[in-house]
Amino acid sequence: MNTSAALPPLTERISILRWLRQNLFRSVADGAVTVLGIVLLLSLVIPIVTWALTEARWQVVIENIRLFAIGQYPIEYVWRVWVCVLLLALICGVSWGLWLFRQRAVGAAILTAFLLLGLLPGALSIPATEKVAGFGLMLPSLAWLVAMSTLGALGYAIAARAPARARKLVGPAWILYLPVCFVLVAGLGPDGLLATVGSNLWGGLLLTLLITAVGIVASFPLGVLLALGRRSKLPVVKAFCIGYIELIRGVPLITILFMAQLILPLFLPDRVTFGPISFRPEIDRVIRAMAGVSLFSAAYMAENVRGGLQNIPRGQFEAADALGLTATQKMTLIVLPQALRMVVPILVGQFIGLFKDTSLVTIVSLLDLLGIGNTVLAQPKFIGTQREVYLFVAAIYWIFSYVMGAISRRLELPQSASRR
Amino acid sequence: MSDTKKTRIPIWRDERAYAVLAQVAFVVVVIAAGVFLFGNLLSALRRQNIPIGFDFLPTRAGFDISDSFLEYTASSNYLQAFQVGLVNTLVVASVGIVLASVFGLITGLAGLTHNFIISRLARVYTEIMRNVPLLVFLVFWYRGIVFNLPKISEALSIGPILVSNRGVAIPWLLEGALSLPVVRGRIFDGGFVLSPELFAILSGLVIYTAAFIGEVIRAGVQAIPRGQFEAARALGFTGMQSIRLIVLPQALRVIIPPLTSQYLNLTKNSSLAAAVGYPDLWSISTVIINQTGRAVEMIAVVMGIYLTTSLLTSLFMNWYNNKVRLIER
Amino acid sequence: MSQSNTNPESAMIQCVDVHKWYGQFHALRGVTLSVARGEVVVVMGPSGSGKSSFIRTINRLEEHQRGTIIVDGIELTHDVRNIERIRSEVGMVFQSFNLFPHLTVLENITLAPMRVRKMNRERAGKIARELLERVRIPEQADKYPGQLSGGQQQRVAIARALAMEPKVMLFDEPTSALDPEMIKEVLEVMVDLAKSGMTMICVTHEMNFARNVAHRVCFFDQGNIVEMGPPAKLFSTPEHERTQLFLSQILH
Ligand SMILES: Nc1ncnc2c1ncn2[C@@H]1O[C@H](COP(=O)(O)OP(=O)(O)OP(=O)(O)O)[C@@H](O)[C@H]1O
Ligand SMILES: [Mg+2]
Repeated sequence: MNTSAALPPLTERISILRWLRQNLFRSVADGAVTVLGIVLLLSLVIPIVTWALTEARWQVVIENIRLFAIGQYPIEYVWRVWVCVLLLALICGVSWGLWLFRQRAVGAAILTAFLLLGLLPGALSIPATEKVAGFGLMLPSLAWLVAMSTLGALGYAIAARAPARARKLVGPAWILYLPVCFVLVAGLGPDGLLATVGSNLWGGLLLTLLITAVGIVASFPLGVLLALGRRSKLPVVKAFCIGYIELIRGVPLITILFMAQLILPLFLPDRVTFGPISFRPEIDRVIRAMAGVSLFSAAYMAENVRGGLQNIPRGQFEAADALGLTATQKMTLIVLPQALRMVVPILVGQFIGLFKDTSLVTIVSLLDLLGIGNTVLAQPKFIGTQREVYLFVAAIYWIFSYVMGAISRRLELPQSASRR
Repeated sequence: MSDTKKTRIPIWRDERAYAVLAQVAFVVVVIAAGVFLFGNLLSALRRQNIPIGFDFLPTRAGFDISDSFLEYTASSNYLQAFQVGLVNTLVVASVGIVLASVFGLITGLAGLTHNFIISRLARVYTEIMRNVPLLVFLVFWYRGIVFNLPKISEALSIGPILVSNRGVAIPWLLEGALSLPVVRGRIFDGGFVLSPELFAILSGLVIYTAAFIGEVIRAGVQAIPRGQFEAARALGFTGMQSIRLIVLPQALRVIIPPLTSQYLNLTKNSSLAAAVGYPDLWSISTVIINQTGRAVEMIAVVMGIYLTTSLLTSLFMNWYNNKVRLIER
Repeated sequence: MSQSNTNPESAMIQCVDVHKWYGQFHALRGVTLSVARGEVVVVMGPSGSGKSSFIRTINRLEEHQRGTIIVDGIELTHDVRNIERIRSEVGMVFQSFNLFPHLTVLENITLAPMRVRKMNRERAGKIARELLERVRIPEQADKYPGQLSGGQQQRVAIARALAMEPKVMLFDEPTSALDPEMIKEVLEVMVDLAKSGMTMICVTHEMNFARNVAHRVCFFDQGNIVEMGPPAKLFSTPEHERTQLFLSQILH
């Protein structure tokens, strides 16, 4: 049996050779293509890597990292943003514990997302020369990571022990999360801990994520209503919904964003009077952009939801009717839960698209991630660093989109939905 | 007997009345909202002294347009400026669609090969593009790459094509003869010269859209069961014949709808040309809006043009789909 | 209320001259049938003869355009309240089960009692478990429909309909999507139900069920009842030639 001891490395070598032959050198032509491919690859990668390691001035990103993260958000209130992030960690932990405890892939993806988010606060504390009034900002990134993982783990631990009925709380918690964040970011009163921070000061990734979140949350109900309307038996309602959906889907987002910026304010009355109160209604530019994005996204949402609705067998409607459920009960209890579950991966894809599309608010002069990039490039110190700045911006978008996409691909719905 | 009974149903409990009432209510709400909003709009415009209408079109524009396929000077009028933008958009969209299809096909097929290096290259390219916003890619491409191309005196030549930061020159038919571009001092001579902006928007859109088209093609071919190919081979077709006669026609049916929507996306995305300084329909319209304040009219017209294109394409697609389905039966 | 003098007050379902059109197509052509309380009627007939259309008009899954349908003294008209009342008194079982796949068996059964009858969760759950006992699958309560066999699903569907405590049960070919042994399971439950005194209209071609349980068999053809009578008589000496032909095909 001496030979068998010597065999494994040999077979390994042979299988590598076989792999090479099958995957790279099937024929002479194949081999040539392989060589060509390698040459192409190297001729692209080597200069890029060399540039990135030697020539590139990454200082532009490092010195402006806070701008990229939160724009001009006042430094003494930055802790409010981090509270949002910590809350997110908590909710994610709880949801993971209640919903998805068996799915390690999802957990890993969420963890990655948090590691990335965790690096940001740390990075923010880099310009240490700044005088910091608030607390929390100067914590090293490690502390943030520890805090977030602790909260996430805490949420998970609580959730894992909670009774199954607690599942019902996860939805409302998520629904509540956004308004809470909004209040934390925007503030409530003229001063105090929660002093108002005007939307003109929101910027960078913070603004990008806020517009995305509002866009998702606002376009979801709107899209569902439009989808139901498009399938309505009432011709007038149906025509209206078709008209809206096709109009929006037929035009570029940028025209809608301009419309939101330029024409939406004109639609408001000059003065609004309620008894003694009289004021001039105004919507600020960030809200206008959010409205534009939501109105746009709703039309696409409607089409995706309609795809789900079309796949609900007629028998489901009939069974609901036969049991005496009302039309509303039939929709909310039977049809929509099934239709929405069917299209979750598609909707996640659409949300990723929405996230990327928010970069267009740069064109209407908002300082989102890309807009901040442009302002950074205007700093005299960093003339000529376009590649560094835009690559950094692209990398952030890429990571977020890729992680979200990876989660949605791995996400297995609760068994009931995938069956039948 | 039953008729007399039916008339006794109170109207608020009659299901037939529901449908009518619901629609009437809907129409009333929509019209009321429309009247309210439109009224506000009109009075707001009146307050700002902005008239409504298209009377401004024949007045002198007074701005220059760097890239134009039509006769245009600063003393031309707004209508002519608009037409220049329209033609520019049409050129970018149509050339972009052709090129994106070619590169998309290459990407898609590359993703399908057994060759590990090639299919991996295709995958990486697709994954990079699909997770980055087009606008970010466009500004990176224009300000980071196209700007930093070599000076014209050191123009790169890729075959007969000359590439520099002053633009890209390609061979072109001039007066019935093929004219190859050459560098003469600080300018290109002969051929057809694309300005850096035109080159940036075209190549940017093509590189970006080709990744998506590649995915569409790859998914379409993979949707065809292997059995189809094997059955064709068993019938004695050669490999090429099997693909051409059996696999491709079936794959096309899967590919065409998403492919069309990619074409429409490219067309709509060309409205981002302003980001690379190319004067397309939308970027000229924004200039006109800035000068005249006629946002309502201009946005409506541009939306109308894009909408018409989309609807015509959808109509054509429906017709095509029906035709394909008929043949299938 | 119903001043009909053709049938005694005890009739549970009364259909008089019911017509139904699908667009131009005349699917029901003047069906007249009266079903007494506790009676079990089996409906047979060739495919496309309007059997499904008929029983679906009884709980307004389809609208009839002419004639009268009265269920337990309530006339089926455009009056929404009457439709609601009739639907909550008439249970229906479909050929394709139509269970709600996103809900567990127990949730499938308790949904309507809780939402329509406003029953509290405990009581609805208790009733649901009793019903599962009755259809002989008490152990499946927390599974999802997709995890059950066809026969089990159909029995859950019966339990779901029974949970609304209906006065009438309609069955539209409940066994034709099932394998033979599963058919037996479902038929046993239906026989039990018939013996308990439920008023039932069953579209089915199960001859044994019709012979042993039905009080009456209706034979449908071309949108109308062509022959009707006790099973023994109809099966042994059918009068109408369509019936004879159909029976000869079904009995081989
Ligand atoms: N929704 C509909 N629209 C148009 N025609 C219909 C519709 N439903 C049924 N029909 C037609 O009405 C006729 C009767 O149909 P029905 O389903 O009642 O027959 P059935 O006796 O139940 O047949 P089967 O034994 O096949 O179930 C058929 O010719 C059918 O084509
Ligand atoms: Mg039937």
